[in-house]
Amino acid sequence: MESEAKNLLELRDIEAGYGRAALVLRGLTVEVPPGSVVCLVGPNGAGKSTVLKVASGMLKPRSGSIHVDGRDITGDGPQSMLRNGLAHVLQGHSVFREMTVGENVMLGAFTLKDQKVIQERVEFVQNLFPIVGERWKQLAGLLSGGQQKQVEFARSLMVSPKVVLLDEPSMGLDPKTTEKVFEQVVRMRDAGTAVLLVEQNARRALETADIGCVLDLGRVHISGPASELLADPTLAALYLGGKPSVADAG
Amino acid sequence: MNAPTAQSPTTLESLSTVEMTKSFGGVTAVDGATVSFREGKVNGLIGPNGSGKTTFFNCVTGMIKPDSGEVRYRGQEITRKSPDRIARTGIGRSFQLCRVFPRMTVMENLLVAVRSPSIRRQLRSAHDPEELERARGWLRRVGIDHLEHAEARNLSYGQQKLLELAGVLMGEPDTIMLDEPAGGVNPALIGRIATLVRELNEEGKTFIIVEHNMEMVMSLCDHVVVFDRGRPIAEGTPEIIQQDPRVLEAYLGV
Repeated sequence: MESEAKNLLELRDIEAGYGRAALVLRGLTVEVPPGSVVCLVGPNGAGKSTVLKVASGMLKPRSGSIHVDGRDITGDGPQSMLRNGLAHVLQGHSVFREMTVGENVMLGAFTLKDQKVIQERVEFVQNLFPIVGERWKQLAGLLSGGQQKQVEFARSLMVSPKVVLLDEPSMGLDPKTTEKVFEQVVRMRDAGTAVLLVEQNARRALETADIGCVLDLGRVHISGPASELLADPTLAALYLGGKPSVADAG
Repeated sequence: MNAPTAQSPTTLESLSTVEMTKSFGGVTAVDGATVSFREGKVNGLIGPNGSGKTTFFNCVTGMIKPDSGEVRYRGQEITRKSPDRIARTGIGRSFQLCRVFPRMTVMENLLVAVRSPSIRRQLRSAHDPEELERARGWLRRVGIDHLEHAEARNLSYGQQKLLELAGVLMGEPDTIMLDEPAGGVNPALIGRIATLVRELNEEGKTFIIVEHNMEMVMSLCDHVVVFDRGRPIAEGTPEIIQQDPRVLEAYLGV
């Protein structure tokens, strides 16, 4: 039966690596259905960030295919990212320090033409991250690390992407702001955007996610409902660390 | 009159600041901060994004100059001294986004981190078997000795953080300042870093740690200072801090 694409984002049998070094991804397949949050979990060096880079076109895979909403985008570079309906928030800091906060945010809207839509989006992101509005005309480089992270989020939300790729969204954020970001992830999902998430704070991320994929040695080792992964004692010991949540009785 | 304390032979003052202020283009990042950290303890410095924690670190380590106020370390004034001179007084630090030399090997990164007063000595240290052995020792301790010959840029982010920490330790500092050691690091590695901090503290090193991972702060720190808007609003043991209404409101969210 001909129908809408089953997955908003689909990475199939991906092999990818950097330069002449060994492959990082070795036949990886990840599916992100509409309206879902998929979380990649795994040790440092498992290839989680590489998955996001392949999805957004920053790294061309050696083999395999990438589909967004049923359309093959394999081989498209990062310049096509926004038009392909993808937004990618990188690990670490990627604001332009010598540009103002406002200019940084507006870069996320360069595919938008309608001034009214742009204005609405500006109000939306300022409302979500008050610091963005308060510091709109200041140089982004003068903001603290955590504040810069919020500018990056605002930038990624200027277009309404089909899929948002988030690399370590909570890194450098204080607990209050971290909670806001996870709330926003849920809100995006409920509005139909799919989210592919990499997060070291795996326990917190899996509590938000619908599906979890455990990466090891460049492949998806185990995947399933996030709640089941959370409840799995072996996985918890290996990848989640910290204390299990209250609901682990039995 | 204060009764003499018997519990510790030296209650040396570690790092402290008096009325330290630093502004950037109209934004006062650190605002008359008077803070005193405990020698021989694991000190935590927490606070919301933009409360001035990293600027505080940068001012006391000489990376930027405070506009006014004083920085003292073990009774000695170090305000506005250059970063290398401050490092030589025994303060080592890491950075929020870790800094390693991407195209040098792990071992090379450590050999340039040694605390030597001259470049000539520095270059010689690269061929010094004792230095090599010392570097290997720290690599073993942070758990990345198997990566000795790898180029730093091929390490994962968490491994680079461990490398940076080993680099700080190569300078044999007495006081170690860590800016978000758990940021971007997987839970298993966080555990390893926490264990290492605890061991080094038992060996006599003082720590000052900026961190948002509350589980780590609360389990690791003896003394916590809470920043908001460029100055301390509360300090005390983790238990006391966690119940302070000002901290709940400004930082943890209610």
